[in-house]
Amino acid sequence: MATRVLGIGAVVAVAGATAFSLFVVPADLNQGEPQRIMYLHVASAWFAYLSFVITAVASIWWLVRRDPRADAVALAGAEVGVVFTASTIWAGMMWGRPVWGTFWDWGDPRLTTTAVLLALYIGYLLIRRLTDEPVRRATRAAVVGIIAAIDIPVVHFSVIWWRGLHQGPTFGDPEHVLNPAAPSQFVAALLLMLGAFSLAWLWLMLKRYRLARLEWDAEDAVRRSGLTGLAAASEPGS
Amino acid sequence: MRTATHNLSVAGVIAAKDLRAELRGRQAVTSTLFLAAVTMLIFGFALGPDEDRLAVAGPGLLWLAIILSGILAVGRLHHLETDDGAFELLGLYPISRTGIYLGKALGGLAAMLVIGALVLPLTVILFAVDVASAVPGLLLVIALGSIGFAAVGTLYAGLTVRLRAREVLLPLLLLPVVAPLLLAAVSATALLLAGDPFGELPAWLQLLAGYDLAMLLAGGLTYGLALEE
Amino acid sequence: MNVSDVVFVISAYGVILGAIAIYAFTLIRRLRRAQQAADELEETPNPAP
Repeated sequence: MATRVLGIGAVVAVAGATAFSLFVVPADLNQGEPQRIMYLHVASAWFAYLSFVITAVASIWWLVRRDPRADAVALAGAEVGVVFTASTIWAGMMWGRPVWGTFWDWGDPRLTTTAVLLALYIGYLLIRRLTDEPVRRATRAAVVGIIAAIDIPVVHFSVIWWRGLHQGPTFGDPEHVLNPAAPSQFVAALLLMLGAFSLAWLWLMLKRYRLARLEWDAEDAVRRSGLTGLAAASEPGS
Repeated sequence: MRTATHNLSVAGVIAAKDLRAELRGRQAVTSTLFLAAVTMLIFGFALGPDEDRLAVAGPGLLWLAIILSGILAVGRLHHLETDDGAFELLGLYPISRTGIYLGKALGGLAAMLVIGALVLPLTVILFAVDVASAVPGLLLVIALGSIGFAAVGTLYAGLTVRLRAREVLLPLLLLPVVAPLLLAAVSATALLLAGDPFGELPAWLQLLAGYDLAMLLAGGLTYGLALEE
Repeated sequence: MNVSDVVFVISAYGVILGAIAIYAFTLIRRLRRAQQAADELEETPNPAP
């Protein structure tokens, strides 16, 4: 029941934050209307990164304790993270076209890093899908989750240096949107969106976790009943 | 100290065994090298006959050829064993998992270096890239890049080797992970060819070395888990 | 006000909020199905000793 209240709260909050950032906040003087996309972009990015941090921590937790709950948390983080990462990239492209003049700017470290991030965690979900036996799946996925987490900062730095080398085009920098000197309404819109997204994110994480637990139990029950061997035998060499 | 020597001796045995198998069968090495050469040729067709453009793209094409063939090489090193169930037996021996990992990574590194030794002269011939002044530096970059690729490639090959879709999954998992390695190696190679006018080369080499170290450490710690399950 | 700018804002909000909503609904549906399966499993006595 608590998650139902949370879900309703999340819907109301996201609707409210969207209305506020679309109709209440004035358009930015420099960037005009597209600046409104930044609220969505930044909020998506924050929760994408948070999800992947949780996946990395839960992956280590699984390898140390072999706790099925850790595997469920890792899966929830990766799947929800992929949804928010894809949102981040979409918002970045929709903002980049009118403001920078291009959908994609190879010189922007955040956009490029996020693209690699999306590929890394789609790979994580794929190796999960292709492994049938739950314990094996959790272990393989945990290794992939940890390697991906190690990779993220390296990707980020390499892309920043890369830009220095190529003297990227001097378009507007999205960092300036977060400038603390911005009028209070802009800050309020961003905070509202972050708050609304935190509710939505938490709801999605809880639901995905619950689903993962149910799926694990179902697989466990199948294995313990007469149908055993099917899952284990479907992999060559097991 | 004892575990360190044990790890290294296990690594030596595994690498020697793979090397023997390669020398006896030889298909893997020849086919991988052939793939690298064909890739270079295809890049030439894709970028057209403009020699200036090919020279500019040279460093990137060099590394793409190395990485694409490298995926094949690290995969092959594991397929050899799963095809007859020897991988499971390997897991049953009371020997260090880290040693097995290091041995496999060593084999992967050797394959990568052979590929590099072929692809570098091919870049010079096909793309008219002048490397005469930068050979020692290029060898260092190829070595650093190969170590990092072998480190993470071996780990992922071990993780995916028993999956039905391993041929698709290995490159799919590996390519995004080696994205920073590719970026650093291509940048370092391009800088070496240009004479490094801004002194940016050390930063890239450090990034490569750090990547190598991090992946070797992660691989050494986690590779055994793929064997045990 | 630039009309094409507004199109980008709408497509950003529309696609992202829509995608999250669709994801949420599929989660609800999958959860309901998994819950049903779990309940059925509990009702039937375990065949294995």
